[in-house]
This record gives sequence, structure tokens and C-alpha cells, in this order.
Amino acid sequence: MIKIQNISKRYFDNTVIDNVSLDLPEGQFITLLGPNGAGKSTLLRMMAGNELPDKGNVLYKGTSLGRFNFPHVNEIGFVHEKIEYISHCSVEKFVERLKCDQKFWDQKYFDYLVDKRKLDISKNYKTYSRGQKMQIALIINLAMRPKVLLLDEITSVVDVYGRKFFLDELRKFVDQKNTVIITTNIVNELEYYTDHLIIIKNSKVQLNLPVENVGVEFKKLRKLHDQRHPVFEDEKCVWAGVNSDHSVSYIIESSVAKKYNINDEFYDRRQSTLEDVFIYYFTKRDENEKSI
Amino acid sequence: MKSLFKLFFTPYIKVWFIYLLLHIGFFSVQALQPHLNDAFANALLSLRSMFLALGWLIFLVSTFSYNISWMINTHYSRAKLIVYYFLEQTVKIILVFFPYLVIVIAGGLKRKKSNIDFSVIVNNISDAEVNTSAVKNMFEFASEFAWKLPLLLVAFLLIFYTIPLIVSQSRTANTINGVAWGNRKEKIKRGFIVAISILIGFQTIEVMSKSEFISEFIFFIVFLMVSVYFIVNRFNLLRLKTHAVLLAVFFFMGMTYYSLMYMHQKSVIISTKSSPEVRLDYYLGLEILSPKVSEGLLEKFLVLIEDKDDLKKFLSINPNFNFNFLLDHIFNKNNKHTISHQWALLEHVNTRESFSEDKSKDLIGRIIQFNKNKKEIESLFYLNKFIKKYKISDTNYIDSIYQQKTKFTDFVALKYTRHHLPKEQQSKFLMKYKGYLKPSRVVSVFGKDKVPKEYMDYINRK
Repeated sequence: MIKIQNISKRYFDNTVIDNVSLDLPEGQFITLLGPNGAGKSTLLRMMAGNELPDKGNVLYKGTSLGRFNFPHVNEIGFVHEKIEYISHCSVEKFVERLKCDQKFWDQKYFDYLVDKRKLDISKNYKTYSRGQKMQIALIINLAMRPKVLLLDEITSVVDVYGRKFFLDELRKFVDQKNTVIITTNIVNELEYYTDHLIIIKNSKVQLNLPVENVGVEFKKLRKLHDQRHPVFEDEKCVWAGVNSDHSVSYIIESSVAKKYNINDEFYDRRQSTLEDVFIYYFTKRDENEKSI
Repeated sequence: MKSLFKLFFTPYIKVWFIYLLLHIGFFSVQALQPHLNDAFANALLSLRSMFLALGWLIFLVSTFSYNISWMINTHYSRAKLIVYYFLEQTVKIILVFFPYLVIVIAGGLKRKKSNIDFSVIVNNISDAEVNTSAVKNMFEFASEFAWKLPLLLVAFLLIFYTIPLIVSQSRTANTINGVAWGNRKEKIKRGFIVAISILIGFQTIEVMSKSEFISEFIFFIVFLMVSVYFIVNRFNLLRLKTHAVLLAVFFFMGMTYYSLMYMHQKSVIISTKSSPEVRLDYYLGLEILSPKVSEGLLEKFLVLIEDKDDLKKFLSINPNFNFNFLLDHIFNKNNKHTISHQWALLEHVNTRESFSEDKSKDLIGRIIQFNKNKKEIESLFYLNKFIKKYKISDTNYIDSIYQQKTKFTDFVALKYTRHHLPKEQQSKFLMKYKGYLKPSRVVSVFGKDKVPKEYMDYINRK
């Protein structure tokens, strides 16, 4: 559905995205992970057509998102952390005016979401709290009934009940064969919802795989304080937390683990989580040693 | 598109109605001005002038541009947003100037119907030529400034394109900027660009300070460029290199538009029924004087002008003053103006006229007449210039100046002797009045080395 072809983006001397190519699957909940400044938001902005790549192209259904007469408007929704609907009227009126150009606007769904979140839409957008603003932006974008919804760091400002509510709604949205591409720093909350994982590091895509393959590609190891094994000395074996039985968890790529003769006692029965994979890619070796 | 107008134009119309109501109020005050206290009316009218500037802001500050980031592709295509933007801006410009258009049309209709004699001020062309020549004049006016365009273009591209590009390309760029500035090479490169920009900025300010038109024009372009840059940046329509071309196009469009506005301003119709003070203010503001202004009115204007700069401006817009008329005004004893005001007029005469000896005698005669009973000799600097320029070699005339025996006439006669007579004549005059003339005065006018030998011997003997 969205095809990214060799795109690069630079801000002066800093390459934010370097020759990235992706073919994003349709009808999936795609989680895009990366540390701050990795280029996730820039990539999302380019997927929304908000920003143009210096090189390469982003295509939606075979059409460039930079095209002046983009034919698939209303099919992409974009909610980002700094979204502002600046208007001089109430949200109710704003939506009333906005929807007359929306092909797929679902008023019933909008009313349902507003009712569920108990939002008073008779006030001006600027009077709401940050979390409420984000919820309104999400509701508007969901009621637009787009085919693709791009969400940039939206969960950090919404309260825990709100997050659960919207993630459930997004799951339903995906189940209707739509696509969600989301970036977040709260990784564990998306564990249950994610179908596909993309990790960006150093301006490049490091990992791009369906979430069911995470368990295949990564193995989780655990060791007690007095246990020793050469695999734990390998710099690709990364500390992944301490367990309740005081054992320490490690994450390692399956291909690397195969090189060592590892007894079953060292394998953790639990499957590697998104958070483990995130830690694997973004923990520096020196931090790893310190943790040990 | 419909929703865009509903979202962003309807709220604007509400603000514009308030703007219109305020203008109606201001125009009512203008109509009532003759019956109002001057200070109050002037305060209100100044407020209205400021309001015109605010009017520009009303159309520049648009909630639309703030909302672009979430609208591109998600709700509207770029093409639709651009079409909307240009339609919106055009309508807003018309609406901002609507009150003024009404006044111009109403003024034109009134003029057609009434029998009042009007002086029409369009580059000194007569009443009948106004309609046919306005466009031609506009282009002539534009071509007058054409040579400055490349310079201004470079300055503006640097100041309003390069620096904003460095400082605030986008939010993401800002966060990354910190890293970029850490690079020493980059730092030096940018420091160099900023230094050059500041230098050109100062040059631009200097040019601005020299011409009212240039400064107005520059301010207009600042508004235009900043708004265009802001919009282009927001839209993220083009890759960075093409921004410059786009801005250049807008610059030339702006130039033409501003020329049109300037010519419109110059086409103001001034009623002869207005008071001389009001008419003088208009003429000075427009920097054009109607050919229909009578000599009597010119005399009134000259009396009314108090500021020396205004006087210079007034003389520059009317270079064909009658010589005797000006001299009569300068040396009119009822004239309460300062001596520097009079010398400014004389200087104007000095630069415009070339006199015969008789005219020079007349001029010097008037100067002497005006100054001879004054204790202090003022503006000697100007007098030096006149004496050097207007040659009088008639020794009898110079002798008659010596014979008047005042401090001022001594000075004038010595100056003429020094600058326009041969050595033997100089010596003859100095020896003739040796008992009367103060040697120190002679030395100060001639300079120690240039005092004739015979007179110097006389001083030494004494």
C-alpha cells in the first residue's frame, strides 16, 4: 500500500533518513521504533506527504505523495504529537465545517467516540488540555475513516484508560483491513496490538519483520548470578532486565545464539518482547556491561 | 474547498466587518474634521493611518497557514490548498483595501458631478490626461527603479531567505541544528553567511534611510517575502533550491504591485477649497506640485513651511520658481523665518540660476540691505559661496560697498576685492581705506600670505 523507494532526507549536514526502502503491508498494525532523533517522525511526515524527501519517492497505491493533485486524499490520516487545529470556533462547529469535504466521514462513529470519551465538544479546541486535544485529533482522524492512519507519539499524552480505549479502537480499525503505522516510546503497551515491527537506527532501517517472527529471530536467555557461559560475554548478547527470581534476562539474535552450545537451562521460555528487541538495538555495549 | 472557505474564511469575514466598521468611523471623523478640534481629529486620523498597516496584518496572519501541516494529503491535495490560498489572499487584499476603493470611487463620482475646480496631481500632467496616462506613468515609475532591483533582490534573498533557512527551516531542523552547529567547518561557513547578510542588511538600511519610497517598498517586500517564505515552508511544496526562484518571482510581482499602489497614491485629488496648510501637507507628502498652484499660493506655502528639510523638498518639487519672486520672499522684512531658512532659499537660487553681473549686483544689494544693521553676521559660510560664484568686477560698485562702512559691508567688499579683482586693484582699495579698515579683518579675509605687499608694509610700519 505504502511503498518507500530509496528515500533520503538531510537537514544541512545531518542525514536523518539515509536511503531507506520499505514496502509496508496492508491491513497491519505497524509499530515503528527508534530512539529520539532516529528519524521516525520525519519518516512519518514523508509518508503523510507533509514533507518531501530530498531523494527517492514515497508512493501510496502507486501515486507519489508529493504529487500536487494527490488523488487519494481522505485515505490517509495523520496525527502527530504537536498537532494543532487552530480555529476560532468550537470543535463541534469545526468538525461540521471540516466534514463537508470528507468523502468517508462517519458521523455516527464520531458521536460514539466523543460519547465514550465523555468529551465536551462545544468548547474551542485551544481550551482543552494536551491529552484532550490529542484525543479529539484522534477521534477526528478515526471518523474520517481513512485507509491508513499515521500516528506519531500519540500515546505519551493520553491517560492510561484513554490509551487502552484508542488502542482497542485502532485494533478494530486494522481488523477492517486498514493500516496503522505508529511510533511510540511506550513500547510494552503495543505488544498486544502490533502485527509488524520496524526499527530505525542511524538513519537506516535495522529491522523489518512481522511480529510473529520476533520469537524466531531473537532468543531470550536467563542466567542466575553464579552461572557462567561464554555467550554472555558476546557483545551481541544484551542485558534485558532482572527477573523476580533475581535471574538476569538477555536477548540475542538466534543466528548468534546458534554459534554457542547453549544448554536449555539458559533459554528463557518466555518469547522475546518488543521491548526486548528495542533494548537489543539501542543498548550500548558499555551500558550493557555496567548493567551486568 | 468548500470546507476550507467555511473553516478559514468565514471567521476572517467577521474580523473584517469590525475592521470595516472602524473605517466607517474614521472616515466619518475625516468628513467632520473641519468642525472638530484639530488635535482630536488628527489623533484619530493618525490612528487610521496606523490601521492601514494593521489591515495588512489581518490578511497576512492566517489560521490557515498554521493548519496546513495536518491538511496536506490527509484532507486536501496540495493543488487544492494552493488554489484556496491564492483565492483567499486575493479576496483578503481586496477586502482590506475595500474602504479605500469606496472612497476613491465616491471621490471620482463627486468630482464628475460638481463644478469645483480641482488640481489633479499626476506627475504634473493636466486634468484631461489623467485617465489615459496613469498606466504609462506607472511603468515609467517602475523603470526608474529597475536598476536597483538586482541589488535589492540579492539583499532580500540573503536576509529573508538564507538566514531564516539557517535559523528556522523547520521544527525538525531546529532540533538537529544544535548538532550542525557543533561542526566547526559548518560554523565558520554559517558565520560567514550571517556576517555578509548583516553587512548587506546595514547597506539596505542605509539605502532605506535615503528614500521614503525605498523604505516603504522594502517594508512591503519584507511583509511579502516573510509571508511567502512562511507559507512555502509550511506547505513544504518545493525542494529548497527552488525556493529562491519562487521568491524572486514574488519579488518582481511585489514590485509591480507596489508601483501600482504608489501611482494610485500619487493620483490623489486635492481640492482647491482645502486650506493652504492641508494642500501643502499633501504636496509635500506626494512630492509633486500641481502646475495649477498660483504664485500667491506658493508665497503662502513658503511662509507656512517652517522645517528646513520641508523647504528643500518643496523647492526640489518646484524647480521653476521665478527668481525675483523668490528674492522678494527671501528679503521680505515681514518674513519671520530664521536666517538659515533664507540661506536655504538662496542656496537653491545658487544651484539653479546663472546670473549676469547686474543680477548678481541686485542679489548682493539685497543681502547687504538685509544684513547691514545686524550686530552679528550670520551664515558667513553661505555668503562665501555666493561671493565666489557671482562675479562683480565693477570697481565703482565695490567702492560703493566700502563706503557704506558697516561690519557686514566691510566683509562683503573685502571678499569681492580678494576674489574678483587683480592685485593692483586690491592694493588700491586697501590703501584707500587703510585708516578705516581693521588690519585683522583684512588678514582674516585675505590670509596672511595673500595680503598685498604694499598694505602689509603699511601694517608692519604701523
